[in-house]
Amino acid sequence: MEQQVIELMASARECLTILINDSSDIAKDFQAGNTVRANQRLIEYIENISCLFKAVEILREQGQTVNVEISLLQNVLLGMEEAMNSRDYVLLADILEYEIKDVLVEIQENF
Amino acid sequence: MKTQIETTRSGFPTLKVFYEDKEYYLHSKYNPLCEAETWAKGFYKKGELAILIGLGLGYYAKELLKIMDKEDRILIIEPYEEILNLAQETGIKELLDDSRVLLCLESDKKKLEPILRILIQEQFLKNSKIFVAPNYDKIVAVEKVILGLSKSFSNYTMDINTKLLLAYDWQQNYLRNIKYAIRSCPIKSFENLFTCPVIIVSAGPSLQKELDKLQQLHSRAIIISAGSATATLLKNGIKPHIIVSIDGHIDMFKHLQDIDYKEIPLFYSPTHHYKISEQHTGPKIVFQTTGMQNVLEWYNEVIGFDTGVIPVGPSVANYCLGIAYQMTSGPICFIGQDLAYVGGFSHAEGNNNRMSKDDVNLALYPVISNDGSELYSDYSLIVMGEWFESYIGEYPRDNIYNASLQGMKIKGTNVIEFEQFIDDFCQEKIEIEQIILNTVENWSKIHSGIEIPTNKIFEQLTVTIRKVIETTKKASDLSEKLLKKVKNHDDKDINLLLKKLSDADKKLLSLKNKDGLLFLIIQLIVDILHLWDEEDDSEYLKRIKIAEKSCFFYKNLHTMSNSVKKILDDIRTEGG
Repeated sequence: MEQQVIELMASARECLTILINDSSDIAKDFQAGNTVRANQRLIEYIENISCLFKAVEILREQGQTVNVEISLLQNVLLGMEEAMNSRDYVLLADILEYEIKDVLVEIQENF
Repeated sequence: MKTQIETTRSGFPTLKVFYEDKEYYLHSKYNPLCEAETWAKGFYKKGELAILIGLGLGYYAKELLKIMDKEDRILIIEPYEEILNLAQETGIKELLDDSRVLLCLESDKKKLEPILRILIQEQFLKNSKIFVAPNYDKIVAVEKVILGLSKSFSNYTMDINTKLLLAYDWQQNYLRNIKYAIRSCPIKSFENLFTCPVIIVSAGPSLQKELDKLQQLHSRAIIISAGSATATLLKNGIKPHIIVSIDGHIDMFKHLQDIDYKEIPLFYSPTHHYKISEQHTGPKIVFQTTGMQNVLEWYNEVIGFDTGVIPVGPSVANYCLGIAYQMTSGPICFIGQDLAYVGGFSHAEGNNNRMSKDDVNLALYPVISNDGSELYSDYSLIVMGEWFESYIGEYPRDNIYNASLQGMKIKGTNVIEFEQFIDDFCQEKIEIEQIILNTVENWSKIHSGIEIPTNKIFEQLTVTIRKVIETTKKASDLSEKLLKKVKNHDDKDINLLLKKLSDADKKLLSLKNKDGLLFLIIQLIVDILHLWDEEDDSEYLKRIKIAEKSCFFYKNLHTMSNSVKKILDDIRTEGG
């Protein structure tokens, strides 16, 4: 079980690195007008966030102390959903580049 | 709309707008400079005129300028005066001082027209691309701005010679098609003939993926093929029930020349290339279009029956909808009607007209597709789409479907998967070919007893055109004399010259009532003359322009009349 926890922690950290890098890349795609590609990548990005949530949940169930404030991320995600619904790509790029990325970096530091 | 300037954490101002209970930032609320830099790199292409709808606070335009060539230009159209003022307050001096930048309020037509003239003179409009600044699509009816711009462009981009050349083609086709029209069946005979579904096939890129379903349809719906879609269908073993042809250019004939369309019922307007009529041996169904009342009545008189009319539209697919409306009360479905560069291409694979959007020499505009994605379209395609929307709006039916899922949205149509349309509506087999043949044969039986004096018709036309040639020659010489006198400030005998010109006018006016065809040529030249602006000229220049217009009008009418006479002589030699 300990080995599984270690592996899960490693996967979650890897997932965080990918998410942090993707935040900027997808934001740039939106800013450069590549909205179709950006939207496609955003689906994958949200799936990765979902995996991160799941990993944190499992780790906590296994009795691990994970010092992560998930609610911070949830709040930003709500803003992101709103921007997506109104196709406001200026706001979406801002959230990705300057809001969600900061939260993810903070999570990474505490992981 | 309300606006608010905010200072971002990068220190640069950004602009927030409040519009219809919502708020939008027109630039990043964290770092507008950085955002604009990324935006500009994503859009700029060397050698293109960048037309930017939306100035905002000027960040996007400034970043474009940084990477633009010295020879390139940027035309900025700002729809809101308030935003332009805010931009000036926050600083756009570097934009205003740069000779590559042309900035104009959308409503300021007086400023916009000369700008367009400059751009045309410098050959810029041949290669231009429209960009909509981020979030302007939320606060402005962008499509209307684009269409307004495009209309102004097209007034300037089609040169006078092209217009006259088109008029000549039009005239030639109308006359040479007379002998085929006389033996054709009128579209009126097809009114409310069917209740079954109709599928209008256009040659857009998305047609490719529907071909296999069309192959399996087997007369469970009427397939109407629009223009160049015919080649794609026949190459794939699909025989449409009807092909529609309106295009007067020789290219359309060449496009059809190598395919076996000759037996398929041909619905055509007399404007279409006469060689298509010549080559086609199957049932022919003739129609005329609305908006040409003088020609319509004259033509009906010449051929001896009322053809019936289809609403005039910018493209053959528009006519197809008019035909479908007239023929059936059943559901109508578009396929391949993309109205945009789906997958980056203009037409389906295998179509001779297929072009990449990167190779077309046209201004491209962003539009929204049926599936919500953004794609590019051009002016003529957008106008086609607008026509569909306005036609469906005027004659609403709830059974108009659009199965071109990746194509541009057409308001008033129900979006549907083609397979679903077939499942829902195309279940019953109908003897479509037989019904069409019977209708044409019935018409022929009724009409066969009526003798049309073709030779006499052409003789009368020749007499009329000779009178026009004579009158226009006289008027052309008179107007040249007038121009010379005006230029030399010589007022002597000017009144006499004007009187003689007025007499020539009267003579022509009396002829136009007899000959609808001539009336349209005159109308075309008058339209061209309207483009010669004289608003800002001095009295002397105004007089010169009036005399120049007169010269232009009569000279061109004279040339055109000679061409028409030659066509008539040819027809009579060939045996009408």
